[in-house]
Amino acid sequence: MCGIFGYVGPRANAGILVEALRRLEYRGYDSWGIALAGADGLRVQREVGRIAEKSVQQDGFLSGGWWGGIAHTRWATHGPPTVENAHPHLSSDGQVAVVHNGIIENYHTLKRTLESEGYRFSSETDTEVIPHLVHRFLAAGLSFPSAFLHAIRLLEGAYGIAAVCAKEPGLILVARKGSPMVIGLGRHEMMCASDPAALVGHTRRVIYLDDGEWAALRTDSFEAHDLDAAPVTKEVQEIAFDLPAIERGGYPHFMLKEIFEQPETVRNAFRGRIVRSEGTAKLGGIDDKLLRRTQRCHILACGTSWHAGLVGKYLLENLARMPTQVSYAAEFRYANPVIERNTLVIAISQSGETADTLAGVREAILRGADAIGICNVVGSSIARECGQGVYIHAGPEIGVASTKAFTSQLVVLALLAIHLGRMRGMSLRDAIQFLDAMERLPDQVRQVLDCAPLVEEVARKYKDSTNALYVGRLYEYPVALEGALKLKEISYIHAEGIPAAELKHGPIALVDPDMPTVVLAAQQGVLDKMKGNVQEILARGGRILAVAREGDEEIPRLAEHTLFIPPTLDPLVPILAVIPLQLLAYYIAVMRGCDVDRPRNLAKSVTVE
Amino acid sequence: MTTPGNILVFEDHHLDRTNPITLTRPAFGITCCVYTLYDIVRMVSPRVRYVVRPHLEKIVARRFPQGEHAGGPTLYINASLAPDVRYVESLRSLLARGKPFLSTSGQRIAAALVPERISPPSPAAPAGIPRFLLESNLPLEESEGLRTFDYPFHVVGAIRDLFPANLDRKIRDGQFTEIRPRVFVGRGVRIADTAVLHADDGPIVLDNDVLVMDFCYLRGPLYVGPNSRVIERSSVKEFTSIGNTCKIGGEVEASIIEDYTNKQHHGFLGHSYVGSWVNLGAGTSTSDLKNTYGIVRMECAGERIDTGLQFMGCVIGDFAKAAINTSIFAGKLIGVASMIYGYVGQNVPSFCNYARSFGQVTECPLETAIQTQKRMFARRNVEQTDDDIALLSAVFEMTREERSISSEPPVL
Repeated sequence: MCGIFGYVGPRANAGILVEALRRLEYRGYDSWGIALAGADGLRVQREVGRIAEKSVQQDGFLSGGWWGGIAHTRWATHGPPTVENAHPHLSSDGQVAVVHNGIIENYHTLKRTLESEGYRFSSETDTEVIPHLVHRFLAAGLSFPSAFLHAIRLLEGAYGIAAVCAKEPGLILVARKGSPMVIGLGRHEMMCASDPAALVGHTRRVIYLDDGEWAALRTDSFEAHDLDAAPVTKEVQEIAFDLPAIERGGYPHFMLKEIFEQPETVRNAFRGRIVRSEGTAKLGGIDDKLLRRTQRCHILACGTSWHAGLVGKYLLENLARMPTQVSYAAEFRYANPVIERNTLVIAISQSGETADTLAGVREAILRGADAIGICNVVGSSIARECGQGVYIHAGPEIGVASTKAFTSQLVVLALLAIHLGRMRGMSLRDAIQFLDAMERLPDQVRQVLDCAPLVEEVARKYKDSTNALYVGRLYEYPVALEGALKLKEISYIHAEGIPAAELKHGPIALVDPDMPTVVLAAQQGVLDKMKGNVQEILARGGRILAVAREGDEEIPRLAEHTLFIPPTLDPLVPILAVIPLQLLAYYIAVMRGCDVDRPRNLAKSVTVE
Repeated sequence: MTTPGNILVFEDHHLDRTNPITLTRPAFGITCCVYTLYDIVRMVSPRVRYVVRPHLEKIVARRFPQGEHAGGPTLYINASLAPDVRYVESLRSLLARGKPFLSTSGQRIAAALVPERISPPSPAAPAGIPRFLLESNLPLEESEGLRTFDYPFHVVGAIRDLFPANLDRKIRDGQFTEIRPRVFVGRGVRIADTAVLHADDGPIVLDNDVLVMDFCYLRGPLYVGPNSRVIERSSVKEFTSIGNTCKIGGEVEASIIEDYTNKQHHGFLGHSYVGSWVNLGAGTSTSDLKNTYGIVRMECAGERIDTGLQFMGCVIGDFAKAAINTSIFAGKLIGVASMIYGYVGQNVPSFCNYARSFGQVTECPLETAIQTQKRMFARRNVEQTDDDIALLSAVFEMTREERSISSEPPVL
C-alpha cells in the first residue's frame, strides 16, 4: 500500500528519489521520506503531506557525493501520518535505514522482545522492528546481508523492503513477500521500486522479485537469493513506457484494477486478525471492555458503506446475537435519534471523511453512545473522532465507484461479529468453521475474477437496457442494493435493489421482457425461496441473470445467464457475490462509453453534507 | 490384542465457571452418578496422563495415578467432559480409528485425536493445550455427541440422564450380590430389618461395608459408596449418588455427595452437589424449587444464567460447613471451606463466615480452615499432609478477589 524506491549509482541525490516518489504519488499518499547514503553515513528527511521538490531543503541533498538512497511514500496502516511514523526508519545508532511496504503481523511480539533487550522505539509503526532487528544481528558480528537475511526470516506477514547500511557503501538490500518489488537495471546504476511507475525514465529493463526472495543491488551487479541464501536466477524483462497504464497496473481503469486487487485486499483485511488458536478474531483497535458492555449496535454509513452496514447487521445479529440497527448517517443525525445505554455506534466510511457519517458520529457521541470507526484511511476524521476502530487495509481506492473497500468492510464486519460472538456464546465449532471459510476467501475471490471474460460477454447482452432490478434475500439483499448502485453510478442505467420477497408486494408490476432482473441465489439457507421468486419473475416474462453457487443445477436451467461463485458459508456470500456485479457494472459502463473512474456528478469522498 | 491407545486428559481455561467445585479438585475428579471422568477414561485405556492447573498437581497425584504413553496417536479429552459410561465405547472407537479429529462442545474443545508426528507444547500447561489443538488444524468431527460440564448446575442437571447407564455398569463391573430383586450389595453390608428398600423404579447398590440403620427408606436408582452409613429414620431417594465414608441422614433426593461428607441429621437436600469433607449440621435444608415453579437462575463467574432446570438445589464446595438450621435457597453456590449460618440467599464466596442473618459476613482465616481440616481428617484417620495445606493456601489466595467483589463483601 506504500510506495518504495531505492537507487544505487553515480546520480544518487534527493532529486532522483523525490522524482520517483512523485511518480508514485497518484495513489494519494499521506507522508514521505528519504534516506541518502554517502561517505559521512546516512542523512534522512521525513515529511507529512504531499511531495514537493521545494520540501527538500537540507544542505547537500540535491548535490552529488552520495552513493545511493532509499525513499518511501506512506499510506498509513499502523499509526497516523506523522513525521515520526514516516519512513525511512532507522536503527538506534542511525547506521541502518529501512523502508517497508506491507504489514508485519508479528511486530507486537518482535517489539516486545527487542524492547526487553533495550531497544527503544520512536514510532508507532510495525516497520521499526526491522532496522532494530538488522542492528541486533550486525551487533552480533554478522555482515549486513547476513543480518538482513536473519531479520527478514523472523518477519511474519507481508513485506516489500529496501534497506541500506552506512557501513556497507554501494549496497541496497531488498526483499519481497506478499508486496510487490521490482528491480530496475540501469547502466552503472541499479534501482528498486514497489511499482514500475517509479522506474520510468531510468530504465526499461526490470526483474520482478518473487515472494520469499531477497536481493543485493550494487551499481553494476544484482544477486537474488531465497530465504535459505541459495542463489536464484532471475529473468530480465522489458516494460512499456505508458505511464498512465503503469499507474493503473496495466488495467484500462482504476476501478478494474481495484476489482482485481480484491484477492489481496480481502486477505489484508483479515491478515493477522484471525486467531485460530483461540477460535476467534482479534481487533487490536477496539477495547474488549467496550465490547463487553455493549448491548446493541447502531451502524451509521452512506452509500456503499451503508450496504456493508446492512450485511453487518445480519452478521452481528446472527453470529453475536447483538441487536443491531443500520441508519443512513444523514437521516440519523436529523431524526432526533434515541440512543439507549450501552449502544455502540459503528461508523463505516472508506475515506473516513464522509461528512454525513462524521456528523452522525458526533451526534451519537453527544447523546452518550460509544463509537468505533471502520475506515480505510488511517488517521482520518472519523477514525480520530471515534478514537477506536478497525482499519480495513484496502490501500488507496482511486475509482469513484467503491469496490475493494466494500469487500474489505465486509471482512472486517465479519471479524467483529465473530469476536463479539465468541464473547457472547458463539460455539467454538461455528467459529472455527467461519474462520476457516474466511481464510479460503482470497482464493475464491480469484476464482470469481477468472470468470471476468464471461461477465463481459453477458454484459454485452444487457448493455442497452434502460432499467434493471436486482433481487436477493438476507445476506444477498444488500448485495442486490450494491449491484444496483454500481450500475447506476457508472453506467447511468436506472436500477433498483429489492428484497426478493418484496417483489410481489409491488415491484413485480415492473417486470416485463425489457426489465432484466439480476437474481442473487448463492445462499443455501434461502435457496428454495429464491427459486420461488425466480418462477414468479419468469411467469411474467422477465429475463433473469443469476448469481448462483457452483454446483447448483436448477438456477442455471431457469435463468437466461448464470454467473457462479464458489461455495462458502451464507454470511460470507456477499463478499463473493458482489464481484460479478462489480464487473457487470464496469463492462456495461465501458461498453456505453462512460467515464468509469470519474462518473458524472460524483466525487470520491463526499465531504459535504 | 492391539496396544491400548494414549489418552491425555486436559483442563482448559473455562474452569472458573465451574467453581467452587473445580477450585479444589480437577475437573475429571467430579463425581456424577457413581463415576468420575477419570474412571471413565481408565475404562477406555490404562495409558492415561493428564494436565491440570499447577495448584492441583501434587494433590491429584495421590488419588489419580497416571499411566505411561506409548507410540501412536494421542486422544486428548477435556477434563470437563461429563463422566458418562456411554462415552467409553465411542471414545474407544475414535481412538481405534486413528483418524485425526477435533470435536467441540459449545465454546470448548471436547476431544481430539492428535497424530504422533504433531508434538504437544512442552511443558504442557492447561491453557496451552486448547491453543495447541486448534493450531494443529485437525479436521472438525461431524457429530457433536460429547458434552462438557460448563457450569456447576450442569453436574446436577446431568444426574437423571447419566444415572441408569452408569449404575448398570457399576453393577456389572462390581462384585455385588443381588439380595433381593434389583438390590445389590457388596461385602460386609448391613441392613437393618426395619429398613425399606424400594427398587421397583431403579436398582439400589450398596457398596462394601455400607450400614443402613433402622427405619430407613431407600428408593432406587441409588448408589451408596463404600463404608458409608445411612442414619436411622432417613429417606434417601432416587438418583442419589453417595461417595465413600459418608454419613447420610434426613431426606436426600437426586443429589451427589462426594467422599467423607456428613449430612447425618434431619433436613432436606435435593438436586444438589455437595463436595468432600463437608458437614451439614442438623436441620440444614436446601430449596430446590422456586415458589413460582419457574426455572432456577444462578450466578456463576459473574454471569446470571438460566439453568433451564425447574429443580435445582445448591452446589457446595469441598470443606464447607453448614451450622444447624441453615437454609440454603435454590441455585446458590457455597464456596470452598466456607462456614454458613442461618438463611443463605446469595452465593457465598470461598473462605467466608457467612452469617448474614446476624448481620455479618467475615473472612474465614486460612489458619482456621487448616485447623478444621486437620480435626476433621483425624476423625476419619486421614493424615493431613503438607500438600493438603498447600492446596487450601493456594485456593485461599486464588479466591481473595472473589471475597472482595462479592455482593456482600466480608469484613476483613
